[in-house]
Amino acid sequence: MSVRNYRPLQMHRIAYTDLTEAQVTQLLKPAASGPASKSPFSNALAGKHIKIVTADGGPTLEYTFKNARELELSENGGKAIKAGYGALEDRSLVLVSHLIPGTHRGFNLVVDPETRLATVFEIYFNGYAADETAAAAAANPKRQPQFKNGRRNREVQRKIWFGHLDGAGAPLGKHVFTNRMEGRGIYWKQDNDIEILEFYLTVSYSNLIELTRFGGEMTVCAPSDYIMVNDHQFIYSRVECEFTGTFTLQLIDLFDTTQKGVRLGLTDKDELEYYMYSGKGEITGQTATFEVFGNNSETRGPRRVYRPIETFETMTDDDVKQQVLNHAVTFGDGQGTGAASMGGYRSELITKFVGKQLSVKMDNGGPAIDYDFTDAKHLKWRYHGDSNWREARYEMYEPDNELYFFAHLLDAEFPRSCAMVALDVKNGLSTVVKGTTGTAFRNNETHPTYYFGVLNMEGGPTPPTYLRHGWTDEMVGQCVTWNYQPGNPGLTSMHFYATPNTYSWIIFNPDGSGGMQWSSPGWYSKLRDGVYIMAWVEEACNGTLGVICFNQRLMHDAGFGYHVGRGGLSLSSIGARARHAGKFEIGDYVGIKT
Amino acid sequence: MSLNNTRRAFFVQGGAALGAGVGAAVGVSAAASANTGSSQDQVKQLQRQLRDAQDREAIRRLHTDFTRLVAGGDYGQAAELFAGPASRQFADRYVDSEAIIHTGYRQRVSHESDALVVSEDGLSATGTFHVDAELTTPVRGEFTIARMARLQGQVADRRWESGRLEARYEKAEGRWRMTSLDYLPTGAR
Repeated sequence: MSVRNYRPLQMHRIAYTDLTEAQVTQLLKPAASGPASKSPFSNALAGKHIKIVTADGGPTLEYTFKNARELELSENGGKAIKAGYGALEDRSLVLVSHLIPGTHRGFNLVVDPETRLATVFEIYFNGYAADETAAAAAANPKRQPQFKNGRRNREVQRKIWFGHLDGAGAPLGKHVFTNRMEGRGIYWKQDNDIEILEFYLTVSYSNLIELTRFGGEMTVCAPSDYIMVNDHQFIYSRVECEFTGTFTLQLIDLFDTTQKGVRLGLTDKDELEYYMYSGKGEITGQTATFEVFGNNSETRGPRRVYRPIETFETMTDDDVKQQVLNHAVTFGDGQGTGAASMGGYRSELITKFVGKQLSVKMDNGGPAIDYDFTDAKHLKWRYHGDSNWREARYEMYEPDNELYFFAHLLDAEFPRSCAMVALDVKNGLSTVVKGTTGTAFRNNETHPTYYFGVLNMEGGPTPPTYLRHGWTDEMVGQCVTWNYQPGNPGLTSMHFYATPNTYSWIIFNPDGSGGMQWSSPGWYSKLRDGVYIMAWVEEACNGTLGVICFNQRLMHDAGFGYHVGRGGLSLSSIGARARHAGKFEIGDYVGIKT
Repeated sequence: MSLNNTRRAFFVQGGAALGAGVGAAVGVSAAASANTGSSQDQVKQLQRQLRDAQDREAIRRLHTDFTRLVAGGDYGQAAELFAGPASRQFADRYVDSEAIIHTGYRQRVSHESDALVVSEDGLSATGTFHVDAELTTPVRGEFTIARMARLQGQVADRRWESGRLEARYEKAEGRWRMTSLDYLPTGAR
């Protein structure tokens, strides 16, 4: 069991210290002697002298490796410096890592003495502010640099240079960016006892969950690089942006599913973490990819970074109260078609309950609500036993045969809730997801509360005593694309149902490759075989609660979104078309341990 | 304003309504060649023809520059090819996150010819260019995946459509610029 000591919060809830440059430089001092490693370091380069020449304006690095732990480096012909380093081997590849003492920068090298190819990761702390300022100035149209969460001196920046070892002419071939890792998932057990699931679902992001980390129920996403050395060896890197800013670089060998890696950063407790590691993996699955054949993603522009925590506006209690009480909009209040939203493929509205009454009763003190459906878009509701009927706008869909899903706002109070109600007429069952504004962290986030119970209606079945809809992990590991808007490609994302408690979403690039990705907590319940209610909250992102009833026989959903922001409180519909995109066999790694 | 709303789709309309067409172009050309008089008149006519040819070449270059800049996504530079309020209109359209925009043009073979008509005084002109236009519909909405998609340069729809560009030009300080540009899908009048 790993003994690393993390703060007991999910990574997106930690308020990371905005360290000064001086603090970062001070914290990096011990790194001058090189990384630690449980496994023995390689001495493959000991006593050797190499000169790496890189292309595209990159540096020329002349190394003399004194032994397995000490090197001298002359950068661009400059004065040689001494540094500690570490190296690990994978077949003919050597992974080297070192910092430049007294600075906040260093190099990670992947060198292949046989092919004489080399890839250089120039890494540095204290670089976000300058890089972000330059990127904002170069943007078209220009934008303001993102500094809401500080200067991010802790976030490792990287530049990648492809090159070769000098001498005897330039080698044939080269390391290249690639999509050949896209869609794979691997479980890793490292030599330091850390266990981690990594999912390489896009060409520029990865999704991971450290199983040995406290609170590790939720996957996180990190901007990543994928470089192909040959058909079985790949270089993978990531920076845990929006979190600690830690940098990870790995050689992945798919012949024997092994890894050699280095991790460099400052933990959530502002402690230096600099070590190399070896690991053994198991392939967990492979999703479909959506580039046209022949597109190998060898060329790409700058790697985009999604910064939801930076861009999410935290509203005050008064702001949110004002919005939920005075600016609530339900299904556009009858305006619009939803075609420009997440409801571009909504099914037809169900009107069969118009003029009828029914009630739902949830277990364990959950809500018991009577309904009277006035017309196709308006209903009356009251808590059972209350004489006071309220009016509300609603929309109802039929995601499975005689299984109905509708939603409406509850009382105008703060915090404010909505009810998303599944009526399983065949089974006399009902499930209610109550969406409510506010969390312990932000008032303009939402959260769901699930209730399982029964349906009472004239002509319906006798409500069961013991049978209920319930929680499930059947969806865990599945990937599904969702097409929300017509067009080519319309608005399309991919869901990855990563653990029983989380999911992530992937946004496709214009060429069909996977691009940016982000995670949120997720809740999964089963109504019938192949029919599920899945909910998510975009915590520290957009704050939205999404709840879909997903019928895997139809590959279609019916659902609702609940959101509060500067534009008011909204309850809206979701309707999209799905394609199965693959599945990871990860059930043994996540959830309750036995 | 949507390009789909009407068959005669508004694009950039900074000046008066388009008037001249193919017939007018033929008319000017025929009138010029029939005009035979004194040597001085002939010199003037040749000067006019030379200027006319130079203007046509300059306008064709302007059109080529415009289509190249649009295809390259350099809408700011493309806006500088317009004069007066049309420049701002063009630029505004390309920063409007709701607008359907043109993102590419291909010259199209048509039974009708492209036409350029330069005015008698050589200070204004009209042009018609038959093109296939790439119409790009943005991803709309402020929800998370829409914002992420836009951040990645994703759009909701791209499609090619046959039509024609009808432009008006003015020459000021020796330089031709567009004062209006209409795009009309094939079949639009």
